[in-house]
Amino acid sequence: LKRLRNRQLTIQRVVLIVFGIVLLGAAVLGALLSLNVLTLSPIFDPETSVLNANSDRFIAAHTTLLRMGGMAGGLVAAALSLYWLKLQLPPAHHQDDVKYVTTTKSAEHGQELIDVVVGETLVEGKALAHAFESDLLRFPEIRQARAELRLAESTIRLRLDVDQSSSLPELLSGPVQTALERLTRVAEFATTPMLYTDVRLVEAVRAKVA
Amino acid sequence: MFSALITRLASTVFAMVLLAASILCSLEISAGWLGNDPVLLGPNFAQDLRMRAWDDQAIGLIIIALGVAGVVALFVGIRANTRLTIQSDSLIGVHIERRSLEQALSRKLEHLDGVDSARVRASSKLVKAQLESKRQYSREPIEQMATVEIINWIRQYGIEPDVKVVLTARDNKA
Repeated sequence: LKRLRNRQLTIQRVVLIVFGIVLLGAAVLGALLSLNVLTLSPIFDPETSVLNANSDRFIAAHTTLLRMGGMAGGLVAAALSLYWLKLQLPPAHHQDDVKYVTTTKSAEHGQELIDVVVGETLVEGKALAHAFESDLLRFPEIRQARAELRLAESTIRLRLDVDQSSSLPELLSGPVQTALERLTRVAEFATTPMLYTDVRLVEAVRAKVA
Repeated sequence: MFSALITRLASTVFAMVLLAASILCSLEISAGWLGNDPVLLGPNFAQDLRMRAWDDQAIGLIIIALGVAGVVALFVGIRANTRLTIQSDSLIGVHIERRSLEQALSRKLEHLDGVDSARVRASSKLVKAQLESKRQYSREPIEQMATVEIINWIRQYGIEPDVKVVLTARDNKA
């Protein structure tokens, strides 16, 4: 769903702004030093070279601390950059499968009658999603449908391409609701899943003139 | 869409630069800890920094590069409108894809009498339409007609933003 990418992009913008402020801040400080406007400390003294006797003494006195700080900073920056890169990947699709346990009606176990498990049937979430999509595509106003069954969260993410000339509220309360109820009944869900729908409006199909 | 692409591109480049810098930093510190010379920066790196003043040209170039990169990152981060969808207020759980809404509105407005082309920008708060006409019509009636058309059409999606329409008359002969 495009809405999931909204969050990714917002995080990226925040990271870009923070990164920009840090870089610009470093550049401004560097420029002030370079132009001999500012002396931060004897270590950063524009009158001397970039590494001067004071900074050499400071590094010698705090070598272990600086190394540990540098390593920690480097690792944090590496982790941040990997997370930043991961945000470029589109959200992964995930379909939850549905397991049906098949039992015989009853069997004798001493004095009691119990159900005996004779098998399991696993219906892939992808198959259910395709069935739901096909059901939706029977309606001409729906041009394309893509469903993602997240049954562990009792939700379905749906992306619909609909004709811009069709009435969306009617489409959602009619065909989409009907298809959802049918899926719930056929797949024997305990409750009707919550539907999150992203709608893309597309140009209406022009009828062919004979 | 374009803003989202720019944001992604800038993010990828900056993330890779940051990753490279952090690997370099960790590598050189590890080398120093093990008593070796800098691996990638070269054995004379520290000596080189002792020779260079703050107003050295190379230092100046590094400062300019940092500044430019910072300005670019800030500009992209602040300016980009990256919302790809607009949430419907009345249709529960429904988002409309922004780009498709803008295109659909443009097509709708282009069918209005006197409008030759339309460009629409939409957000949850504001729909801004720029219309162009090849003939010298009176602006107000067309702008009003377009505003009513937008409000009526967009209402079905449960979105009620402010609407701003601007008509530009373009002289066809010119």
